Amino acid sequence: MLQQSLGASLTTSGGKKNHYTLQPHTLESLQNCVSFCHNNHLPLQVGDLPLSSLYFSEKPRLILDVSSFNAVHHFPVDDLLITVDTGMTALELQKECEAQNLQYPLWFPDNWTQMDILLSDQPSLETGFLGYPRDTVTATEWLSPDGGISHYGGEVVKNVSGYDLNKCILGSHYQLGLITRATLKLAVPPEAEHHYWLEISSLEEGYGYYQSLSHADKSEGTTPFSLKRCELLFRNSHSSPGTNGLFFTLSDSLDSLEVQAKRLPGDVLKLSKASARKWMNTLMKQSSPIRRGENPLSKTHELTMTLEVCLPPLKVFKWLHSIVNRPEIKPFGLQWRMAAGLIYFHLSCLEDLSSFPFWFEQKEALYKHWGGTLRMIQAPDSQGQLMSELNQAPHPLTRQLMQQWVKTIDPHQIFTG
Amino acid sequence: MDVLEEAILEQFRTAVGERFVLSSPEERLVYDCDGCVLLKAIPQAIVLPKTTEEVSAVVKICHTHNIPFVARGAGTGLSGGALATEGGIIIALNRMDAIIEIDPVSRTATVEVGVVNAWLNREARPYGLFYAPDPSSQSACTLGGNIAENAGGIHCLKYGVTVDHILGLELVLPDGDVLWVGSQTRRIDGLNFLGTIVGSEGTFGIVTRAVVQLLPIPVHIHTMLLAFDDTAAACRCISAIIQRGIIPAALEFMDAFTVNAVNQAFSVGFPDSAEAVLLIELDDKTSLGLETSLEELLSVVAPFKPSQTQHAKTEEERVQLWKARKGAVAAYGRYLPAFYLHDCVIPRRHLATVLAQIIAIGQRHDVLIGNVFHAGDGNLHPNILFDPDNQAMMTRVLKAGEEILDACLTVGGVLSGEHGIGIEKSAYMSRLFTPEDLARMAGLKRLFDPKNLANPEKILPHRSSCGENNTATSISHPLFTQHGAWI
Ligand SMILES: Cc1cc2nc3c(=O)[nH]c(=O)nc-3n(C[C@H](O)[C@H](O)[C@H](O)COP(=O)(O)OP(=O)(O)OC[C@H]3O[C@@H](n4cnc5c(N)ncnc54)[C@H](O)[C@@H]3O)c2cc1C
Ligand SMILES: Cc1cc2nc3c(=O)[nH]c(=O)nc-3n(C[C@H](O)[C@H](O)[C@H](O)COP(=O)(O)OP(=O)(O)OC[C@H]3O[C@@H](n4cnc5c(N)ncnc54)[C@H](O)[C@@H]3O)c2cc1C
Repeated sequence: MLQQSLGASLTTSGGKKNHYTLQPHTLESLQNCVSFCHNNHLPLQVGDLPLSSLYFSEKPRLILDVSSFNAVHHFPVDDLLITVDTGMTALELQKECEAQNLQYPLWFPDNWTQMDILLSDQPSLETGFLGYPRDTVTATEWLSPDGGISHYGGEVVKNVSGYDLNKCILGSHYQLGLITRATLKLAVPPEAEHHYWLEISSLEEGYGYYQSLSHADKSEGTTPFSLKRCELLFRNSHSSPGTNGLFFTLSDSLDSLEVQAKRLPGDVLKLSKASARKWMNTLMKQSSPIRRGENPLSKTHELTMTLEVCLPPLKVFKWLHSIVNRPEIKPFGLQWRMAAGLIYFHLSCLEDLSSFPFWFEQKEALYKHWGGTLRMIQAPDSQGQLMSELNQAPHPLTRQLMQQWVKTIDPHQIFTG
Repeated sequence: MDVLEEAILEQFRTAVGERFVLSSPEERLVYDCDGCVLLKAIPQAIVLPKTTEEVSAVVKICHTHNIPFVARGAGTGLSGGALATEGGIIIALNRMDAIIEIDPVSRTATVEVGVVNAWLNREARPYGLFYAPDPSSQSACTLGGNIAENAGGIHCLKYGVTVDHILGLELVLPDGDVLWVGSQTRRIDGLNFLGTIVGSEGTFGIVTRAVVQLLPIPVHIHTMLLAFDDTAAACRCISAIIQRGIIPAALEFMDAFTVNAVNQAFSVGFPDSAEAVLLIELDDKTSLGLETSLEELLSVVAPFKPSQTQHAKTEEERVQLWKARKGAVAAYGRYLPAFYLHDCVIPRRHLATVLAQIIAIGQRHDVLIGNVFHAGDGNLHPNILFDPDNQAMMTRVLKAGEEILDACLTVGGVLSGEHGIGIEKSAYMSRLFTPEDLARMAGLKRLFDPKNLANPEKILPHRSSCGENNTATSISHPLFTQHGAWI
């Protein structure tokens, strides 16, 4: 009966008790599903973003599957824009774009949906060079928890007509509802991309190398390095000493890449496309709360914890030095998105659960003294509540106002539990 | 409206000091309009605080006595945003003009909001850094006004508008409480209130301080002028450049009328016979990179057969080109004393069609229109010139403006790209948004300002808080229907 009245199919979910998946096929049935939960105060989980305590709780819930919403709505190729339903995956989007010799500028793992990406404003490996997902959106359709729909924006690249509702909903982690449709800015793809791996033995060495890659742009008469991604990986722990290094991508015309390659140091390893793709997948999955499939760092999510720190890029190194020897973060695996000033710490929760107070402290210090941000993006299920608390905006009044806004929009907390 | 009662003025004097409360008729008259000279409203007093604490104290007094307040920077806004249309006071932020810190390592500056846009650039230059958003009014407008309007500028095509460069800010809420949003990075903690406050036109409270992002000054720059005999060809050329994936630092359009005006005003020697002129600037970190993109750009442009190509060979020549562009609006003053300016943004692919419509609208209503705009963004700037003493002309000007707006909305355009809605376009909001959209916006306004004291009646059409549709169209012109004839 429920299926009929909502116009959506209903199945039990992956063996979990009390979890049912709803799959609507039209916007109307999606609205029905959301209003149904709103009216009945039923928790509704969407996508795979464990950023609210709902995700971790054992409460009965409906899980919304938006994979049927993957159509291209409008594609004005001349304006380098595309409007899509947000159930569309990253792979589907890239395929649509490739057919017109265009690309979405940020790369994401194949099966992530636009809804996941936009609602988490997930930084990509290119973020330091090309911005955040929110920078690529010119219009959204916003489905709020009461089933109402509002719009902002258009196929225009600049807009100050009224309050920017796009900014409200992008990155809001399902707290304010769903983005059901979005207009995205596209780019002309470079002629080629070459990927490299350079082993390093210390953070200093990696940082120095990154600097030489970026500063080389300043020397006259040489082809600048057209850096598009640069990720430093470092573990100072027990196993696999061979995995410390710098993964980077240069993108340009083939001729230019050839010239650039000659200027790279001899011990740089050129990666095949397939191997680079594997790296990119791993690096993205390790550094995101989006759980579509396994996190390669740990087969069992209970065991790892990942924290993200963002600082002005040139301050990162100094800050790292100030905390690197703290017992709370040892041993650690570190992923540093250098141009964006983003650092991801991969920690073992078995050893480091007690470090939660430390991270609360660090968040405060980062905010007050370094102008930085800190959030937890992976935590053991048992720590969902603490993680939600840690991820709030640091200024108390701002936090309060945000909570009030969420409460107004989702009074029954169907999305946040 | 009358001046505020003495007892309340006294409270303001206690908060900011005797000298910084203005209340005589002459003093109040100075604040009766902004850059949109069509609209006027005399405030009940003007208060000039020096610190965030003083702003907070002033706002608290307003909150207690239910007095509306309107923030004001330099008053160069073009949508009547800084007018006290509902009575109440103007809080002028010009005394909050300190550049608190320039941090070359973070590449950020912490500023008070009364700082003039161009001052920040002057101070950042020795560090090899610059603040990218560069409205043509940058020698006068304040960063507070820029934040409130999410100002754009000539170089925003490549570098982004104000919101892309504001990392954090301090906001005095309408009850006097002070909050901070953002950090020194572009990562957003919690909901993106920062992005929503930027562009909210002073309706959420008063921004008092901001952390802005600075960028390294590009070393290699090439500026050129392309003249065309055919406006449509110039528009198609713009699309072709963008489609090729070239992002110039600036890509600006001037029509024949504007070219003549700037030639007369600045003797810049732009090609007199051209129907359209494009000003294009490329920049790059290296000379080699610049050469490559210039070569590519010229190959894209060639099929559109520009009648003339001028390259700025020296820094002086480059400065002269931009001076002419930035002074275009002033140059119109040679024809008629005032202008009414729309700044709709349209999908770039419709540029040629809509420009032709604008020209036809001007002819039909017998009004002079100069087009000088941010072409790469599709951000039109039709300047409709007028004489404020000529009532018959005024009626035609307003009608032409309304038809231009409709032409833009019909092709999927939006009301404003950088000047904001203010009071001037609020009645048009219901042509772009549904009652549900407007109700959502009204909800956000209520969250920040439940008493509706911060710059009330700007942006949202009247009654939209109840989700009702505005019916301004039924009467001759929305500017008059809402607020009576102010001209
Ligand atoms: C019980 C448990 C406890 C753990 N405790 C810790 C801990 O205390 N500290 C800790 O750092 N990790 C910890 N981890 C994570 C674990 O160490 C990872 O599985 C490890 O990064 C993979 O190394 P490997 O040599 O087994 O595999 P590899 O094959 O070397 O790597 C597996 C994948 O990880 C990626 N990778 C490798 N090195 C890095 C790096 N330096 N940074 C980012 N990505 C990289 C690669 O892309 C590869 O795809 C723990 C995991 C478990 C299950
Ligand atoms: C010749 C000319 C050229 C122009 N060119 C451009 C251009 O290229 N690009 C562009 O974007 N704009 C342009 N403008 C418009 C105008 O300069 C901008 O909108 C500018 O940002 C306004 O700044 P201001 O300090 O003059 O603000 P004001 O006009 O004083 O105020 C504008 C709005 O901001 C609010 N406000 C001001 N300060 C604060 C504060 N501290 N906190 C909260 N709200 C505040 C006011 O209440 C009002 O709603 C131009 C204007 C002129 C006259």
